[in-house]
Amino acid sequence: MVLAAVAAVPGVARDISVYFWKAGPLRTTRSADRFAGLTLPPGAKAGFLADADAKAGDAARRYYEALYAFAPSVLLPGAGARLVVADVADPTEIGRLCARYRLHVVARAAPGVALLERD
Amino acid sequence: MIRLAFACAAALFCGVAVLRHAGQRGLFAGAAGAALGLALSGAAFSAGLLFLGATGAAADAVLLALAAALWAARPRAGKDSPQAPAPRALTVLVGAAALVVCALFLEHGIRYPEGGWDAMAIWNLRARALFGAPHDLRLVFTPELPAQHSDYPPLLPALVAHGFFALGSRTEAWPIAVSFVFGACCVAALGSAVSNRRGPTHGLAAALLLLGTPELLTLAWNQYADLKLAALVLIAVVLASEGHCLPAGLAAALGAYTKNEGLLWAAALSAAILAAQGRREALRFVAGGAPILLLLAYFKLRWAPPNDLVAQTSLLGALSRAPPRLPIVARGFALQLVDFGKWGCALPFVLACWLAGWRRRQRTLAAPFCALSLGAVFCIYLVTPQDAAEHMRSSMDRLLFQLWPALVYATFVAFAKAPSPTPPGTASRASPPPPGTR
Repeated sequence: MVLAAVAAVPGVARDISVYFWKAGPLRTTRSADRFAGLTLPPGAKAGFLADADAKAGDAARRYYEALYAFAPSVLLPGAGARLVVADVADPTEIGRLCARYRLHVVARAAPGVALLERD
Repeated sequence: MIRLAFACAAALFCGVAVLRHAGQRGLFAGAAGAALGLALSGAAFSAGLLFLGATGAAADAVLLALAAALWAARPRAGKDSPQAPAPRALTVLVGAAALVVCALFLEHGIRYPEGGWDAMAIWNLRARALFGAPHDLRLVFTPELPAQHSDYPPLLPALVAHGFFALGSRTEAWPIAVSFVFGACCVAALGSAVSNRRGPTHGLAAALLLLGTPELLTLAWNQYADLKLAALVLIAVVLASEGHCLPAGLAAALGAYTKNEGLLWAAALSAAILAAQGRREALRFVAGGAPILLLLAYFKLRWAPPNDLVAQTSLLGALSRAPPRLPIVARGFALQLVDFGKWGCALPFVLACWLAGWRRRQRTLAAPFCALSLGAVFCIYLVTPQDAAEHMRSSMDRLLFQLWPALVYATFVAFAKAPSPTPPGTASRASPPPPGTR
């Protein structure tokens, strides 16, 4: 029993240490807030575009967060649908995406996030 | 809120009724009953969605009716024999550890209410889809999003969606609460199950060991399904160990309806029961899980797209991949032992118990189940169509945690001494009678 207690305490101490390691103001982070104000028609399928030069992991993260925010609508990578959600790090990239894929801005949310529609 | 309270009450009553009908009582009946009840609620709600497109409180009414029937037929509760209380210092230590873990869970839940990666990409995503399109299940289980694993069983998303419907909104508080309840119930069920077999001191030590496993907190605050499955596997193993194979089958089947791996653990448990208790008990186990397994089969055949790992695996390919991977997979297991961030000192401690105490172990059902399941984990990585090292890096800790509470239970039951005989004239409840003698 004593050995079990000795084996358990370091794990709890590790959990506490993680808290102090990442300590900072207690702020709530919601990825879905980035897309606030943008809506898709019920049951719609839309496209999704991220930065062209985004790292694979960052682009995937943006895509999954967009899926979560717009559920149950299905977002598919690319600009093949009539409506396209864009999430880019550089807001000026929105204009370049519109020119490249013949889209126009329907609505904007956070900087770098917009709902685009095919011309 | 009233609808949610009704749903929670129905779930709790049903889960506790199942366990009371199986002769369980005390903290184990309460904790395991709460976890089992939530799982039953998710299963019942998903059945309504899959078959009828129904999203009302009908599933809760069905659970209540079932609970009432089981409660009426429960056996009379005997008197508990007095047991020596646990040392005060240990009780205080467990309480402090529980408070710390709860506080850290709450703090992380405030910071990141949407949960971890898999919660956003799979479990809560599907729950939000069920809430948004309950009558368009083709959209919910679309095969166009393979990374979102539409083939995963829908128990957890349905449970979360059930709460969304009851509250009328996709509030993040509900999946956080579900994750907390499963985590707390898992710890309480483990401690009480060990306490019932080996006394309160060892029960508290087992609970402390689980609290001292960092992976418990990580999976809880990430809102992953692995913790829910781990709780259900523990309940199934405890019930089967005490000869209650019918409700054990139900718990194991609910585990299979939570994640695909749950089917593997259910098969391993049925094999362990067959070997230890015979064909009759094994059939009871299968019978207990049959309704949920049929529901799972319907979901897989009607709605789920093919599983990516299974679709990419052929027998010949698996056999050719396995031999050269033996040292790689063995190394993967060894690395888990030294992964302090996930296991602390708990996993090495459990391994040391088995190595040092092998000859004097008490034979139980839980141990062969754990051995079979760990062997299955080993084989999964031998034959996976993905890169074995990468697959282990991304998933082995969660796969092992699904078995972890059952492994801790097996360890304490195998090596801890049973409490001293109680004074004459009082019945002992510390060790249940062997199966077949009820």
